[in-house]
Amino acid sequence: MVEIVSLSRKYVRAEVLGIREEADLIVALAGAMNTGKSSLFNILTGASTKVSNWPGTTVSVKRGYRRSHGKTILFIDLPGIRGYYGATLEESVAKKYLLHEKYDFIVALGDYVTPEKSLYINLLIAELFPRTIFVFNKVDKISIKEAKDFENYLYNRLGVKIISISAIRETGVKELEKTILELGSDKRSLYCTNIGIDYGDLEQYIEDIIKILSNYHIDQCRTSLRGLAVNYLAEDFDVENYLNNLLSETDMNRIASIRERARENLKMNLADYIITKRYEFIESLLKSSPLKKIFETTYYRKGWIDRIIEIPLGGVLIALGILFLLFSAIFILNTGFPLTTIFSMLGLEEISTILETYSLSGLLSALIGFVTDLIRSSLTNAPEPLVSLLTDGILGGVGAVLTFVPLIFLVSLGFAVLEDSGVATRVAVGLHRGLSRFGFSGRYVYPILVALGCNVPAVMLSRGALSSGERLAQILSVPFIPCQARLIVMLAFAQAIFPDRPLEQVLLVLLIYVIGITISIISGAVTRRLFIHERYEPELLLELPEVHRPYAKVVGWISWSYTKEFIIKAGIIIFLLSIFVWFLSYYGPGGYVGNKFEESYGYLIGSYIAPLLSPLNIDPQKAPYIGFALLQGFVAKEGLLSGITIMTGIENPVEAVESLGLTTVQMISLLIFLMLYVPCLATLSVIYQETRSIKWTLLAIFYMISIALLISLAVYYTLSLM
Amino acid sequence: MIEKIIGEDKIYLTLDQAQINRKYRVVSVSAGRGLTERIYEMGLLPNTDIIIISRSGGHVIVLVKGVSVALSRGIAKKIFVEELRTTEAVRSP
Repeated sequence: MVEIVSLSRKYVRAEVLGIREEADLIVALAGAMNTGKSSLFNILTGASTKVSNWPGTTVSVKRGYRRSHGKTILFIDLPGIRGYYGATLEESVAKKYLLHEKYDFIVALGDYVTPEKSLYINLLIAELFPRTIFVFNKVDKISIKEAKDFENYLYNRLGVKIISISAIRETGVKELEKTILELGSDKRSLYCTNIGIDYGDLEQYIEDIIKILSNYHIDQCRTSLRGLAVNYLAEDFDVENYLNNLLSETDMNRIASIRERARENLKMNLADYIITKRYEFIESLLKSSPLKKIFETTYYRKGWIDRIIEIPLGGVLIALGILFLLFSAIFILNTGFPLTTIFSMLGLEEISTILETYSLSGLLSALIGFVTDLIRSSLTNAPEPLVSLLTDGILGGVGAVLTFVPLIFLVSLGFAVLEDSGVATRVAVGLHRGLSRFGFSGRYVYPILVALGCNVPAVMLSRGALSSGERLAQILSVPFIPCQARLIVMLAFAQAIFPDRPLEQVLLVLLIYVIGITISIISGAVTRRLFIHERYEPELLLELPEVHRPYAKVVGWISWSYTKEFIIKAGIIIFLLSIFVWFLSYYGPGGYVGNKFEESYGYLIGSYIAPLLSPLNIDPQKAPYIGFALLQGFVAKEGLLSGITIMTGIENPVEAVESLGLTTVQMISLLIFLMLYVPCLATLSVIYQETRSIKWTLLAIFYMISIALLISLAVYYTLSLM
Repeated sequence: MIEKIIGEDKIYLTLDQAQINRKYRVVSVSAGRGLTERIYEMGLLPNTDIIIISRSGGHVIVLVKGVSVALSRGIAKKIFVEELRTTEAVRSP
């Protein structure tokens, strides 16, 4: 019996994803990487995107709706695949969804630039899952006639519906929508492809397995028996599992012995044979197709980035330098820093001040200051706690979220340009060798570069990781990199530790950077071994996207979606936590305390945190001050300094640090601890946003505190012995 | 180092020794289970023509079936190729 697709309302039972929403039709979006799948998904679903994680993994599966002719179509965006065998976690998730979860149709995406590769992936999907429609993107690269001819050709040869689109120009999308609705509403002609790849010497074994499978109730239009047999012979793990659940033990043994016989007869690895046969099939299919010409031209256009990377000895470093300048420019635009410091060191204070005032965050803080004054002056008669809540609490919280918004937008804009143009991947490939020793791919270079400015967007860039395991390792490791806010603290401490000795000051700052970056790289190996337990292949085997001028639409969409997600997800957490911290700082056991911090809950908590630093032999009288500063530094790293100045009552941060009465060794080890101890509140919120797991967020805190204590104690005892 | 297979006139080399901008044909892949399949699925299977578009100490980038694929040295060493005599295969932009 074949299940007939009807257009009655139904609940989506993809319960693994926590989906229980209504839709008339469910369409799974699958396909190769670099074919513009995300762009198509974005065009189809607009702003309705929701993300869930596959249970037990950090592999995210997106879903979104499209309303059309009174019907609701739910699109499930599955992870992109490069093949079936030796699959990554992401590819396995895509396959598991198609094997076990609910959908009406699959849209398999390929493109006209790489027809051979696209057909390989699409046929892989359609062979096992007959309810597959092909969508070929980048139709703008060929003529309309060629596209139409190819559509007809493929339909006649394989019974596959193929729709040509251009995600960039948004052509063909209406037709895709129409086709999905038509196929979904027509109950009589059930769409079911029949891909007949000739497997030569394996055919008899495939037939034998099909005979056994046909005794079972399998919806053959959902999962084809032939596809199951072929993938079982190729030892596909997910298909084997699927059959294991379905077949009796006797039948499992029977098909196992068929596979054994096939192996003995062919005297080679069956999967290798099957892949070869598939490519032969595609070759003969394309040779007589209207796309013959594209298929036979194998020219490659070298981009400027290829030419730079090719420069012997240091080509990659030059490319890296260019990227570094790009991200520096973004940070200068945002805060004026480090250009402001350079100008003021050259004695050009005025230029430095102008730059700072008219930087994005300068303008933003001017705005916040203006609104604060407005509230204070219009509420002169209101009770002080209320005014403080409105200004220090709520407005402070809004400000904390807002300061990150332009930064995240600019960073993701810069990254989207690199990513969409294909430059990002090429530079990462060049750096892969060094980073792979620590369990990272070359792509970790982007979080590192951005983290030097700010950790918050850096954590978001972990999305570029090659696997979800690597992504977690990046998220846990990147906050060790000193950001701009931490540099301010570093400079103040350096001046207090080595007054009037600029060389030592510079060396100390450099040392902290070396420590931070080194830890964040070694941390890849540590986190993988301790927490992630993912088998890692440091070897690189990666498809590169073509180098082209970035598309404004794609770039705009990526940066907007990063920013939007930050505002909605992390923004709310940052806002609420800011208000909570306001409460801790302005209220104590005795009620509202105003500026008397010694009576606040914050001070109380600070004195509980203080014993953490007892191994550094810090004077117990001073310890609560540092404890409170630690709490402030958790809210925002630059808060470490203001925490110390408020507590000591000394305006100048350098003098305030000096007044703590610490020895040089204590100050250096304390500084190292302060630089590493915990991600700031905003970073933490983004860690939660990216992992969607309280467990991993808490682990990040615990892990960083442990490493910070370890390193600062090691430095303390080493220096004490000297 | 170029490996010469006895009994045949053709010279086989591993992909990590291949020269930039030249055309080769894949002869065989000798990697473990799993990895061989992945290499095959990327299109690098016997009798496929490829062009080396970039290389450095750590990796090789080849054009195979219209797609550029980056391979680290470790993987490139496992792929045997023979050189094809052709005209300049890579066009300037």
